[in-house]
Amino acid sequence: MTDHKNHQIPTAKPSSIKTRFAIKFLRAMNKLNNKNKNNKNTMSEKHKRFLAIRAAAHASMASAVGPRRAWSRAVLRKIPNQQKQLHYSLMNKQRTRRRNIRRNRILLITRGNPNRENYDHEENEDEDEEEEDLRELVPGGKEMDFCRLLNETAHYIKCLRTQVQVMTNILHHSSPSNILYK
Amino acid sequence: MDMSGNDTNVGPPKPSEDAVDYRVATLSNNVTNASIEMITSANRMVKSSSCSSSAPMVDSFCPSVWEQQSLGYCDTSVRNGALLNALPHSLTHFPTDPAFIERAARFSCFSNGGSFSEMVNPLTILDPLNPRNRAVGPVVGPNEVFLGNGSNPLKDEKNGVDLGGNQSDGAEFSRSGEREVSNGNGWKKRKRIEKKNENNEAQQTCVETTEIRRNPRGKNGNLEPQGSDPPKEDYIHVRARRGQATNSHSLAERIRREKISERMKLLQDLVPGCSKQVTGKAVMLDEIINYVQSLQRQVEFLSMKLATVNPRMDFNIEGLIAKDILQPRTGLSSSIPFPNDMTMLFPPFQPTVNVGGGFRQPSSQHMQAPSTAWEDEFHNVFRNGFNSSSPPNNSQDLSVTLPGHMKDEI
Repeated sequence: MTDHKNHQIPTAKPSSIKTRFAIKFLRAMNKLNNKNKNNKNTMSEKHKRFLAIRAAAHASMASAVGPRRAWSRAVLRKIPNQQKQLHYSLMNKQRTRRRNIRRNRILLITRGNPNRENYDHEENEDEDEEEEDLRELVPGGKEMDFCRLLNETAHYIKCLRTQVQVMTNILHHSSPSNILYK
Repeated sequence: MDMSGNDTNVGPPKPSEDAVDYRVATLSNNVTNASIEMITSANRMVKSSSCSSSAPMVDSFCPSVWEQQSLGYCDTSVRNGALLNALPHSLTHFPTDPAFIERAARFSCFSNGGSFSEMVNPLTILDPLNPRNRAVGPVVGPNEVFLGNGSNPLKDEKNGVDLGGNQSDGAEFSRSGEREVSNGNGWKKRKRIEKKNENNEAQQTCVETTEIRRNPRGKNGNLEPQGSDPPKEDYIHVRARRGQATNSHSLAERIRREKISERMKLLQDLVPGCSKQVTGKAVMLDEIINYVQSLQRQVEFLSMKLATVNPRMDFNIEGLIAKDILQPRTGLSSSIPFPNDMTMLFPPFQPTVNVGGGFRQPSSQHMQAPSTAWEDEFHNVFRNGFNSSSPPNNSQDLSVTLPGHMKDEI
């Protein structure tokens, strides 16, 4: 393993999103493994496990990002973990209220539909569908204006990428045979 | 001439300096007074209208003088011209041409009342603006966008150079206005930067621009209340470009479009499949949506694999992290085609696992839609994804049907 350190691999900061996510996810995995000591290995068990792991991945990613991003807040809200919810909501009440006031004002101006129709006719119909699609994809995307949605999408893409990286690394390290991987 | 006895000499006979001093005092209190803007603009104007050699002197001179609360010197020297010898050494470069002195004197008299009527009279250019400002003020009032209501007279009076500067300022505003949102100081800074830019480009007509810029701010609210407003609310200061409508809605639209295009460019860099030339907005959005979908599917797939691979193992967290970070998977960045046979997938779902069964990461798979030879759900799922049909259904199909499919096989 030490050879790899000499290659030109970017080393992550100790408190980067990557490490935070990795730590949380691994802890969640350990918990799941410890819970599931009795290995039935039926398909339903596997399916449940899959669902649990997927939920753990999303949750640990969102909590690694923290409440700074709208999409992470939206994901955290869905977690049936009341303590976390309360904590984050208390932290963010003031900030989000002010932000919402501002945002509503901007929305009043920029998002007035009759005005939009005056200026971009052709663009609207094509993009509205995709905009809706994007809103469905990005968590919490339904209540944002388009600019913010694009911001959140960019950050979400970055985080998804790190998530995929970390999970593949975990898989790689935990698999008994590493033959076909580089 | 004694500089130490400044306060006593200056105080009674020259009330203007008092007013000026007051404003100097409030300068440090972060009050956004238009008069402060006046003073700074007076500085800039002085700087621009005088010879270039004196410009840096004026700049360095005035703040230092203000710090000492001896602004009276500036005024008296400007007016009389006789005190130049007695002033600090930096002032010896101070220009003495009468036109400059007159102008500076005129501006210094603004600080008396700070009322806009005083400001307006010497500069008759502002008069046609006023009704426009007043009409616009209440309309725009609580809203964010400032009109470039100086834009029409700008067209008439200025050359293209100035407007070129304004354009860049406008763009700068729209961007900076977003970042420095609730900061009254930030707003002031923006104005000063803008004034500097202007003065660099068009020295003659800078007077009008600074005045005009100040006017909408004044007309949209009073002086005093506005001192407290900007920190709470955010105003996006925009300038209408030459030849464009100055309707508030169209300006807002323009801002919005610029923001959106900026973000789309950022997203272009993020999403690997986007070539720079191809993009229209819809195409870009398509690509982005596909990419996000594929990433989400990857996560699901990986979690599925993790579910089946490790029922027994405990993770050594620290050790794994040490290894993890140092090894980003190379397979992710390259476009590796999927293996053609589905049988590779089957072993991972058995308890005795051979994970390294040739499975490669479905990275940027959406780029190679026609070339994959997936069977069953994966095939359909990814193909449907490329046509950007409803994504949530697909992902759920993936999760639900695949274990079912495995059930059949096993």
